[in-house]
Amino acid sequence: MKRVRLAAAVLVVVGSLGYVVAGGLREAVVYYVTPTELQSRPLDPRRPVRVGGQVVPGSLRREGGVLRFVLSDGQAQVAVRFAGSVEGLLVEGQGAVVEGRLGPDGALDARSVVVKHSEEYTPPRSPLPPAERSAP
Amino acid sequence: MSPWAWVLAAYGCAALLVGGYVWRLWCRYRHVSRVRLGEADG
Amino acid sequence: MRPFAVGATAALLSVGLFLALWVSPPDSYQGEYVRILYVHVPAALAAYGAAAVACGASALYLWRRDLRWDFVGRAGAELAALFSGLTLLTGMLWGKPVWGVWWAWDARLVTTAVLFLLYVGCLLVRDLADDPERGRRLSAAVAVLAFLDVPVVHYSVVWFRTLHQGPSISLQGVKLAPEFLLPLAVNTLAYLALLGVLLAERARLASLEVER
Repeated sequence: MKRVRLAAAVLVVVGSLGYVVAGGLREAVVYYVTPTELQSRPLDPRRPVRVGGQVVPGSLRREGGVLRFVLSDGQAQVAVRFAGSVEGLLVEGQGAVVEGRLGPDGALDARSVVVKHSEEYTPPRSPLPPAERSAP
Repeated sequence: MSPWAWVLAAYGCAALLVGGYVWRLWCRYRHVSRVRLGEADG
Repeated sequence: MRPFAVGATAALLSVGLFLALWVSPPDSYQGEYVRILYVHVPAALAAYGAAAVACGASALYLWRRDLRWDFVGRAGAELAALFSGLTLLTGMLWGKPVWGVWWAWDARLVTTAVLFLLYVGCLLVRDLADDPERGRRLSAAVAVLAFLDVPVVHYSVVWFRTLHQGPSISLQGVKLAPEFLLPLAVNTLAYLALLGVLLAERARLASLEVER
């Protein structure tokens, strides 16, 4: 009985290992494309894409429940529309990874917006950290 | 949830995991030494 | 020696906790969440260390067949699982409020989960064989191979495009203000000391249990 339980446990571990490796091979090798790559390759508009870049300062605004901003990689830009609310700390000048479909006008209709944090850490200069006033 | 709740949750996780491991080691130590003492008495 | 090591580790952990929760300023962008860094990064480094010890001791066991190397290898594998599990948990508790998601299928997260699962498997496989010696050898072989994942975890953020941020401390420079560097350094030292004490105690316990 102990051996059956143990074999089941090993099976669960090996199974989750396979699941994680398969998920990694499917998505992790290229987790997101840059706006430049998005525009240089013809894309099937029905297929969802994941695009990562910096939120262009001054582009973030909310209009009637729709969040709009522009993602840039320094060369190309892509406009993003998102009808939901962002759970992470979305701030202009920081990174974001947006998953969605390209609309007919070339803007990305986002299904999810995930914030990408930079590897830089600095103490706040102003008394209130931007995290506290980030929600647009 | 306030930022501090997330921070404390992370530290709580660390305390629980490491504390649980230390507790398990401690219990097995006591078990082993009790058995060895018992043998010495017998 | 033992009371000194335990006392020094406890003192380091307390100082580290004080620096992390009171002395460190909030980050200009992520605010208080930066404090999770002081458990997450030291736990990851302790997992690397435990994995290295498990690999070395297991290789020596396979070579020399001295049970004492098996005790150390088992301690290393247990602590590699413990600290990589803690790395995953604290990472999720940081990712949910900052990224907005608990989990992402990016290379850093996936390879870390693989590391955790490999060491859980390494510990399970030990008791699977009928012959204890075969179980020990199987477990040692898994521990040696599992270590190959450590450089992959560490360089995943450089080799692949990930959601996880790149290294803040590398040969290219330090992107961490000194206010954050000191708590991180003290906590890393404290976790490595904790790893050393736990390794020694766990291996000692294993030898006591065999003597019995």
